[in-house]
Amino acid sequence: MRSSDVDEPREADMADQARLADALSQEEVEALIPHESIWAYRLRRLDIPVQLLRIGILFAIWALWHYDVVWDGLTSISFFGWDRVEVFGWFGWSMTWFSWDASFFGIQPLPYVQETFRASPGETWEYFTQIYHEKLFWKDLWVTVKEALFGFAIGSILGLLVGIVLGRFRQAAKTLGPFIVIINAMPKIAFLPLILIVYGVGETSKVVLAVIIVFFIVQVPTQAAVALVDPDLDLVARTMGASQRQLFTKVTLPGITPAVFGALRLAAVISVLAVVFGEIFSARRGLGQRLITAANQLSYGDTFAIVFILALIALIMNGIIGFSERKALRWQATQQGGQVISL
Amino acid sequence: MSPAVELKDVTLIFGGDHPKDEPVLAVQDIDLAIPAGQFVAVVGPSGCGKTTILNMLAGIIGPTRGSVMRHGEAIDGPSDDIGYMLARSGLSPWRTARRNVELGLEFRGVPRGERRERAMELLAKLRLEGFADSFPSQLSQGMRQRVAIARTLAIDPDLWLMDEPFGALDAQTRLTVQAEFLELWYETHKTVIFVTHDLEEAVLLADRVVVMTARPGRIKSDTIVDLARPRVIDELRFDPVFRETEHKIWEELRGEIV
Repeated sequence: MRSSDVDEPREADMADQARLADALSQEEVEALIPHESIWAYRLRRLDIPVQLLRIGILFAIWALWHYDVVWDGLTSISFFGWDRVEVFGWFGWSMTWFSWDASFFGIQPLPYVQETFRASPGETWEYFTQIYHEKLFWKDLWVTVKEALFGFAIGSILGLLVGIVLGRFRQAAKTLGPFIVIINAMPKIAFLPLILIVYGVGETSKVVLAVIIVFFIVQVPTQAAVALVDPDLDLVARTMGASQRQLFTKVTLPGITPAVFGALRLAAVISVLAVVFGEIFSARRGLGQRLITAANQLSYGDTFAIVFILALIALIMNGIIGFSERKALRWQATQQGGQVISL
Repeated sequence: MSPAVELKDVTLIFGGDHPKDEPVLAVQDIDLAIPAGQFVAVVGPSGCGKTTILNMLAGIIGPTRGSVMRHGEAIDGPSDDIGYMLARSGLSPWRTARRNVELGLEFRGVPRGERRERAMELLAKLRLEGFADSFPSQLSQGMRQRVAIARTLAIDPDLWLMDEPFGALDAQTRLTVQAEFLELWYETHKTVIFVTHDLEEAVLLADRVVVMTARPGRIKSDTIVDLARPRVIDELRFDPVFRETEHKIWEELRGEIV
């Protein structure tokens, strides 16, 4: 009798436990989520709607250009308010449209461009087919690439060094800060005439211009990043007896890496810009010189082609930096896209 | 023999930067001697200078008056036989859990293989061996804090300074991590100074609980916790001696908080 009194609640407990279902096995769990085939996964990652939209936009740009829409502009003879006018002559057929005067405060955002100054996609493409045989083009390309790479490398290294030193040594930053701010505030391209006199019209002057511009693009964010490294990491490392050198290599340097890569990407594009600007202004060889010559001869197809080539140079430089960035900052990628496992 | 840690008449004043700033009296006349191997918890209202005391012991700041000593010698800067753990885990986001644990060993120039072995051993003790190659961002709050414990203990410090190490954890995670921490400590029996705002935690873990007053921080009471070791903390919480001790210290502390 007594024993059953004691046992009864225990039996109830056991019944409770019996109602608790067994945990699903790994196979059962996987059966509930059907595995996607690798091709389905790739297709999903490809994101076809986005790709189609991209192709559509690309095609639209090409069409607007090919059918002279961008050149015909947005014009109207209506002076004020609404008027029934013929506006566009797009795609070979004219269309009648209700429109208002396409000028804002007397400025036409999309003016009509005269036939002489127009260049079709075909003319631009023609340039690409010609340059293959033209040795001088490759020489120009090489000059520009060389100048941009040197300007980028020297400017970035100097900017990195000065940024780190000023970020670490407060007294140095305090002393030199105002001078750096003032020089940085100056439009650097204004020094170009002086640079040309000092370094000549050759390649050196373009490198110097790029170095000056790139320097500040890297130095300013580097210095800020050094000052912003998580003070907790610094405290932890110091209490564990890290030497000054160890603090630098194991806390500061990895801490500023994301900011530095951001600056380097920008610097890559800007170094091409600086070099081309210098070449347009005055140079013996280089794509900038080729571009301005073509423009002066009203060969706008050629100018467009050169602009595309310059963009390609900047894109390749940017891509190389982006690649090393992904390698170096694997931890950051997991921070953004990684799954948090909680136990 | 001189105690492992000793504070003698320690007063610390934070002077303001600007002449118009009022200097702040952080702690005053602290007298505390801790024998080697003792686990001391320091409780007190927030802003009473608990962290300041740890910072002085870690050699980051010096006292305005009085002396801070270890084994009878004045502390004059950071030392690599101290493990200092913060409330925020302070893990390097670019290092995996294992390499975070190795950090202190790297500073000492311990060879790679040995470093790795030591780190894996500690991670295993904290049930994190499966996450050795995960980055902090992939770990939960509790796991990060456990990695921080492993990092603090990896250099096998002689003195453990813990600044509210479990303050950011939820109640259940905290119980688990506390138990793991206590076990690690029991194996080594090093000197611990454990700052917390959680009185229950202090009594569960420590041999001795020091209550500090509101600012300026002074020592209000110093109580020995008479509970046997090794302790099983999830059972201990319902122990009458524990309840009694906690209640007694709470009476001291209440006056400072209200």
